[in-house]
Amino acid sequence: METPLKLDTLQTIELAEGVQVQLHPAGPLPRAVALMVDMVLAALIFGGLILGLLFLGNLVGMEMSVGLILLSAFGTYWGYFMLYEVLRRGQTPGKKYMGLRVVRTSGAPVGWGAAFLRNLVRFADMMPLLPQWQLAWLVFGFYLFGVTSCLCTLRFQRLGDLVADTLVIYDKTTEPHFTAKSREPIAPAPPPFVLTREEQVAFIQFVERAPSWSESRKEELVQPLAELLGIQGRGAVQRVLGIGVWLRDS
Amino acid sequence: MKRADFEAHNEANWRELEATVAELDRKRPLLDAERLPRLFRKVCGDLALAQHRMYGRKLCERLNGNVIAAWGHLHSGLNRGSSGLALFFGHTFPAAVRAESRVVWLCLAMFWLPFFAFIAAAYFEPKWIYALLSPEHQAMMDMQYGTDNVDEFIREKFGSNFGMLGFYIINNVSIAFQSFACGVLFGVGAVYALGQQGIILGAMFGYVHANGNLHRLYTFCASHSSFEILGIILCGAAGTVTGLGLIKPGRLSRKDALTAAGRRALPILIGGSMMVALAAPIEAFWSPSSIPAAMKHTVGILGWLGFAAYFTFVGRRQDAA
Repeated sequence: METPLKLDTLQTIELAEGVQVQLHPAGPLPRAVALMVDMVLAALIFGGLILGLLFLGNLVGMEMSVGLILLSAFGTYWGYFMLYEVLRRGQTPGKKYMGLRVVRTSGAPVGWGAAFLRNLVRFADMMPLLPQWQLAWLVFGFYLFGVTSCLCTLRFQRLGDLVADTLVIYDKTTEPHFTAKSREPIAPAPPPFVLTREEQVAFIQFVERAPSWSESRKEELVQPLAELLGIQGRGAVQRVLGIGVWLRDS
Repeated sequence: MKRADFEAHNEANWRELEATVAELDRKRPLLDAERLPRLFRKVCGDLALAQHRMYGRKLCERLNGNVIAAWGHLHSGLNRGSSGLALFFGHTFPAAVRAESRVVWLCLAMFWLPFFAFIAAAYFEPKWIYALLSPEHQAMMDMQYGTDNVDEFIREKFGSNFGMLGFYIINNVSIAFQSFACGVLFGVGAVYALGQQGIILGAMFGYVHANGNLHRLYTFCASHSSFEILGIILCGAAGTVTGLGLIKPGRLSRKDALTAAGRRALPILIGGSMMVALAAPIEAFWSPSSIPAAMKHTVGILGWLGFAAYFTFVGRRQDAA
């Protein structure tokens, strides 16, 4: 099925309840930051476990605690992401920090199977690995395959996401960092011609996003409309904003 | 209805839903079970209206988030508990292995052919074995399974069976997981991992065949061999299944084929890794124990026969249904 190319990455999904929701997939960069946070936290957890088990080793014997340390290394490495993603509804601490969440492509929360698959395939995603040493599995790799796969898929899915049929999405929509306060109130103005639904949406979205753009960018964006409206420059921007406000509030 | 009126009219409902979801996020039980579905149905309608009437991005995103969050809670997975486990081992797992029997046979061959080739090499061309095993490795094999020495080398190194359990789990299950994960890369990883395991293990066995104490080796390995080797082969087979999705996507796009293959591989992977994990306590506690050799050999043979029967016969009835 050919889908028309879109400007944004929003994924529209129709639920069984008959309503359409939109998922906002997250790109490699915020996910990389989330991963760093998780790596640090996993290292701290493992370090704490080692200390605790070494202390325990004084009581029950070192052999026992060596076995437990090995088991906890295994558990931290393969289990950290899986347990958090299932038990915390798709959010490891790093993902929570970055406002991300793992969901199925249907929007449903991930279960054990999906979390198991996507975090095992992480091993393939993180290749090439740093040079191997005794505890090669505690070293993380460069995620070359994962990033490549993210950039080749429309929904930023790494190989693990593809195999497990999952997505990483923005959990909460964030407000733009920089917004300019509008100095002059915009006078609503009816559009001079009949607009289709999509065109009406475009006008309303222009009003909503305008505060985060510079004046020259706004003028550039309304340039194609200037000829239709018969005004140039700032006047055209004001006119388009007015139409948007009229459409939104009426 | 203007947007402001719409918001004013429904705000209380949305607030209640947001509070309910926040409570569920904190894993608090809901006292009135019908509250979430009622609020959810309401907000679904509100979202559709808001989208249709173009009430703007901010409101739509808020309702969108509310719908997703509530839907996630309503559709969070069922916990089937022990009956789910029984269904998995009684039907899903063996049926999934049979459904991919061609790949499983291929993976069995990829492991066993080099293995037996190296054992044969012990009698015809032992230099193949010496080419593969480093002198240190050979010395270690001599210590464990040499003709004169009776010490348990690895056990001495780690001291206790519990230490060994940790070592076996981290080593064997990681190998199984990695052979699956690398299978995603067009199956290359799985072929490499299985072939490598077959070659290394074959060389080690061949070395003992050529100059070691065969009885000790087979007595130690017999009991856990079926769990461990079949488990690793099945994990490799699961990796090959996903890799084949990329190589031979059929009528799907490669992306969709990978997803579909992942779904078919998952039960094989879960079952296989459970078998490897089960092998670890057997290898750590039962195999080095002083149980009579005949007993260990019997358990080993029964293990192989049992798995052959399990994958051939179990879970057939629901196939037909």
